[in-house]
Amino acid sequence: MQTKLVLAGLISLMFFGSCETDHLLDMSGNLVPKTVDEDPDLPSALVNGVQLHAEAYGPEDGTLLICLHGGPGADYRYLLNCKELADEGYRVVFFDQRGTGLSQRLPEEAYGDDVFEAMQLFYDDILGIIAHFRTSPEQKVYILGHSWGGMLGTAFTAHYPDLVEGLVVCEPGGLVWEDIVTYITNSRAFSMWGELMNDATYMDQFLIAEPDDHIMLDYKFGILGANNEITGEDSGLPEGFWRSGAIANKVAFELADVGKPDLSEGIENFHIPVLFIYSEFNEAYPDDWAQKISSPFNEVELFKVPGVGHDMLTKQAGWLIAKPKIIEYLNGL
Amino acid sequence: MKKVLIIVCLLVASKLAKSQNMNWALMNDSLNQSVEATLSLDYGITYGVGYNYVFNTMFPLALHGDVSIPSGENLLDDYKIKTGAVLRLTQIGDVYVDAGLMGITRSYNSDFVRIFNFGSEANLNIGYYRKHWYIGANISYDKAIVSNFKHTDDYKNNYPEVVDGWYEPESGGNIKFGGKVGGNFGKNGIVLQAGLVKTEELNSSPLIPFYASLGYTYNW
Repeated sequence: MQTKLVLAGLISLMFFGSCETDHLLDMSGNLVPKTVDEDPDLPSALVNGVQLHAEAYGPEDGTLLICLHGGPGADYRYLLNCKELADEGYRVVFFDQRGTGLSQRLPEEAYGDDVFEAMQLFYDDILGIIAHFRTSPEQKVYILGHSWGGMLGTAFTAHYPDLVEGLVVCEPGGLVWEDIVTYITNSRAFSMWGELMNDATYMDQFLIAEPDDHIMLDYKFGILGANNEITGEDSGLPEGFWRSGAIANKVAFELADVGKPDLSEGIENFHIPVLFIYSEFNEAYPDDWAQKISSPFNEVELFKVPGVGHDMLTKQAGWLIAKPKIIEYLNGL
Repeated sequence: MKKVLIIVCLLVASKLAKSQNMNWALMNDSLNQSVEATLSLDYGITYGVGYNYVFNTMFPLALHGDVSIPSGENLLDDYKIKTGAVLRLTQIGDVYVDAGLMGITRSYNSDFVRIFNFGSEANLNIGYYRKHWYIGANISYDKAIVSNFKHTDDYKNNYPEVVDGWYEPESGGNIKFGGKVGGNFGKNGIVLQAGLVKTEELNSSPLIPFYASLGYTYNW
C-alpha cells in the first residue's frame, strides 16, 4: 500500500508538479517589452481610437516626413537612422502601426472585415498621426516607407494624392497581390527539412499561445528572426526591433490573401517624382524586379544601394549611401 | 554530421528491439522487448529511436523511452526525450485498452534563445490487435509544465531587460487525436500513425496542425 502511495505521489508530481519558478510567462516586460498602454513613460499618440507608440524629431514646423516601417508586424526601431534627417530641417515622425511594436495590442476584429477595411484603418491611422504632429495646415507631408511600409506609403499616397507632396519607397515586395506573393516566395527559402522550419514549428509543443495571447504570440513571432541569405538582411542587428506584432501580421496576410488588393490603384493621380530605393544584395530584388514594381509611378527615380541587402536603411554601410540620396531628393521637391 | 548521427541511431535501433507502437497481441514471456526507429512529422520533421520493455503481469506494463531530434542544419540543438510507462488496462477479445504516462525533457534553440522544458504526456489508446496486424485510435495530452529561458546576446542587444530563468505558469498544452495501423512480420514490424493537434482550449492549432509518423520495430 505504501509503495502504491509513493508511486501515485511521484506520478502526480511528474504530471502536475513544477520546479520552483520565478517568472510569469503572461507578464508583459519579462520576455517582450511593455506596450504604450502598459508603460506611460513611452511616447505615444491616441489616434483613431488606438494608442500608438509615436515620436517625432526635428523642428515642429518643419515638413513632416512620416516614416512607415515594414512587416506588417515589425516596428520603427530599425528605421531610427532616419531621425538624422531632422538635421536637414524635417520633422521626422515615427510610429508603430496598430497592434505592433510598442503600440497597443488589438484583437483580430480591430483590423476590419476585409482587406479594404483594414487598409482604410491603416490610412486613418496615418491621417491621425499627421493631425497629431502637424502644427499648421500649410505644413507639407512627405512619406518614407520601407518594405511593407513602402507598399502602405504607396497605397496611402494613391488615396490622398493631394495631401502627400513627396514619396520615398524602399524595396516594397510588390504593389499588386500577385507580385507580393511572388516576392515572398522568392525571398524565403523555407525547406521542410531545414533549420528555419524547425525553428518556426518545434517550439509549438511547449510555447503554446491561444488566439488572444499577445505576449506569447509576439514572443514566438519575434524569436523566429534569423539571417536571410536571400534578402541579405540580418534580423539580429543590435537595436533592430522592439516587439513583433503577430496578430497584425497574421490578419494582414489573411485578409490580403482573400481580397488580393492592388496597392498601386490610384497612384496614376500622383504626379510628383518618386524616389524608389532598392539594394544590391537582395537576390529577390534584381534590377528588372525593381523596374517592374516601380512601373506604376508616373515619374520615378530608381536608386540601388550597393553592398547591403533589404536592411539598407538599418546597416550603417547602406544608410551612409542612402542618406545623401534621400536628402538630395527631399530637398529637391 | 546530422546524417551520420541518424544512420548510427538507425543502426543501433536495428540491433535493439518496441512501445507505444506496441502490438499487445505479439508480446509474451519470450517476446517482451522492442526497439523502434521513427521518421515523423511532429512539430517539424523529426527522427527518433525508442525502446520498450514489457512486464507480463496481470496488468501488463510496458516501460518506454525514446529520443527524437528535428531535422535541420544544427545538429542536436533541439531534442526531446520521453520516458514513462504504458499500462494495459483491459482486454476484451482482441480489443485492448491501455494508458500511458510519460515524462518529457526537451530543448529548443534559435538565434535568440535557448529554452529547456519539462513536461508530461498522458495518453489513452484503444486498439484491435492480431498477431500480424493491428489498428487503433488514441488521444494524448502533452502538458508543458515549466520552462527555462536563456536568451542570446542577439536578443539582449534588442531587449536588454529580458528576464532569463524559470517560468510559470504552465506554458500550455496540446491535445492529439489520432489513429494508427501496424503490421508485424516475424520479429519485425511497421506502424503508421497520424492525427490532428489542437491546443488545450481546442480553439487553435500549432503551425503544423497534424502529426504523422512511420515507424519500424524489432521485437525479441
